[in-house]
Amino acid sequence: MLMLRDLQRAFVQGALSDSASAFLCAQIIEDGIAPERRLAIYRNNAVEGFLKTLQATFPTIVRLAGEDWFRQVGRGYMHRYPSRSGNIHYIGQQFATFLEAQLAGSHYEYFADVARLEWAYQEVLIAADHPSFDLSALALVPPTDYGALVFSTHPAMRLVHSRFPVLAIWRANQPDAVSDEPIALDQGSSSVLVIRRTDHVELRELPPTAFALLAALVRGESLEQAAECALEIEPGVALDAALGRVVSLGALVDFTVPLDSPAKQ
Amino acid sequence: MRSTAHTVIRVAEPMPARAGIGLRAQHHDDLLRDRPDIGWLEAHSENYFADGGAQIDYLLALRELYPLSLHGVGLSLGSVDPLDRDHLWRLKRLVHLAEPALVSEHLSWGAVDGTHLNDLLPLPYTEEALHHMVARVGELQDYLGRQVLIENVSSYLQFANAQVTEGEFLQALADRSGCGLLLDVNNVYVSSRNHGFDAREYIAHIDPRHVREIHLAGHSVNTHGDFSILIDTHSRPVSDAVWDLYAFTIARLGRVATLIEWDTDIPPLAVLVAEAGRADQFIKGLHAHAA
Repeated sequence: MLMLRDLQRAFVQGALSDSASAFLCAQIIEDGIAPERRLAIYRNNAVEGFLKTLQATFPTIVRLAGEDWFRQVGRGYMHRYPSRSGNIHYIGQQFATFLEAQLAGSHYEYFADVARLEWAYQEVLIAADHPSFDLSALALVPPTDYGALVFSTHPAMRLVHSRFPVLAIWRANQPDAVSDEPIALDQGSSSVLVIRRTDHVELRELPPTAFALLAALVRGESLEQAAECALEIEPGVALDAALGRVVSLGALVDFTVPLDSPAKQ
Repeated sequence: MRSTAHTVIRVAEPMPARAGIGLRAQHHDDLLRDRPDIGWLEAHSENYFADGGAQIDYLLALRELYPLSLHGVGLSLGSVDPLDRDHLWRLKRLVHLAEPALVSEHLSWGAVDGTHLNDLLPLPYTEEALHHMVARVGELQDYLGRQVLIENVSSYLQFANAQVTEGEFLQALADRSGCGLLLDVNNVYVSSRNHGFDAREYIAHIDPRHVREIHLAGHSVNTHGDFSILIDTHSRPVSDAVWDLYAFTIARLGRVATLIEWDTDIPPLAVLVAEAGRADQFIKGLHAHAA
């Protein structure tokens, strides 16, 4: 496998950089077109394919930044994070991380969080289905055990928090957006639930307490621990109401009762 | 992953010897509503690798209306990297779910050391590469528990160390691995123009018994100084020269399920249906001759 491996390594290296090695060029028949020119066709295909997928994954960033900027940054991203899968879906996986590092301290820092929201949207589109929550089962749990309950959350659900108003920015840049009111980057943070419904993906701004509660439950913390997180944000918040709200969002799909619960005996 | 509601026992019918079209997400609703008279649908496997969500539901709904072929573009069969277990598992899950009449992949590679170019790159037609492809196709067929078809790709370069022609390589691959062949007539034409070989001679040397599917697509021409090179863009109607080559092909191979591929600048469904209708006329004409 020596020759094939060497050839494939030289080819990928040549396609991802600006020039092909002498070894690779010597393997390619010239026949009227220099090997370097022939390889450039594949280099171009790889770059254009990558950028096309990235643009389709992050349409809001394209709209905010313009296509020229996006393509330039997209090339840098491809160089730093080349595709690691035969499934092009994963091409955008590291884009928010890349933008965060590239744009730290600049006016465009918020692009990273917008990208995070768009990637959450993509993940939610293809995540697993799950039957809805059977609330009646919760009624069998003794109230004294509520605090110890651990919930599982819907596979097709993500939470995105940003110090920028990313949901307003996202909405204003949808093709069918009606409002073109200016958005101030310092107008407030954003806590977004991204969740797949029957026929669409819903993006919804959550109150900080509900977001903190849900985020803690996503991390696998007990209801009591999650409640403490919510209370830290807003001391004295009505936990019943906050939990009711989280349940009504459809974000919770199941729960486990602690082992020492009377309900298990 | 799926709710049990989708667990339907359904025997995959054989692919009809008619023209089908490539399934694209923007045509899902139109297909379900209009149910055009086309022979079958071909989906890119990777587009339906999702764990859940609307895309798979569409595929399964359309699967009730049309025979289906699953066409992979990302397995990188010719790569020296080990086959991606997650990719294989997702393909097997999809095959189990959708029960396609045909499953296909490419005579190409796309990755090395875990870095992917997500393209269909040409192999050197050497004994070493043939040995490798035979093993890989065998591994895929064993894993899926069924035959797969392997498709020839368009190429823009040839490797100096080739020991056989592409046609000979494919023929030997099918003989040794037991795979079927998906003959892409546009790709044969594009490569024949790019490398100066005789497309009809290539096709005439393929054993008709191996060919279980044909692809037709449009290509573009790029000019580099004094030379032009044909690029397999799948962004245009099938060219007249490729229709001519198609007529030659089916006259030799007989009636074979034929796909109209159109993956970039995708036109309205009606345009694809009309292209498929044209291919059906060729297939019917052949039938009339034979009868």
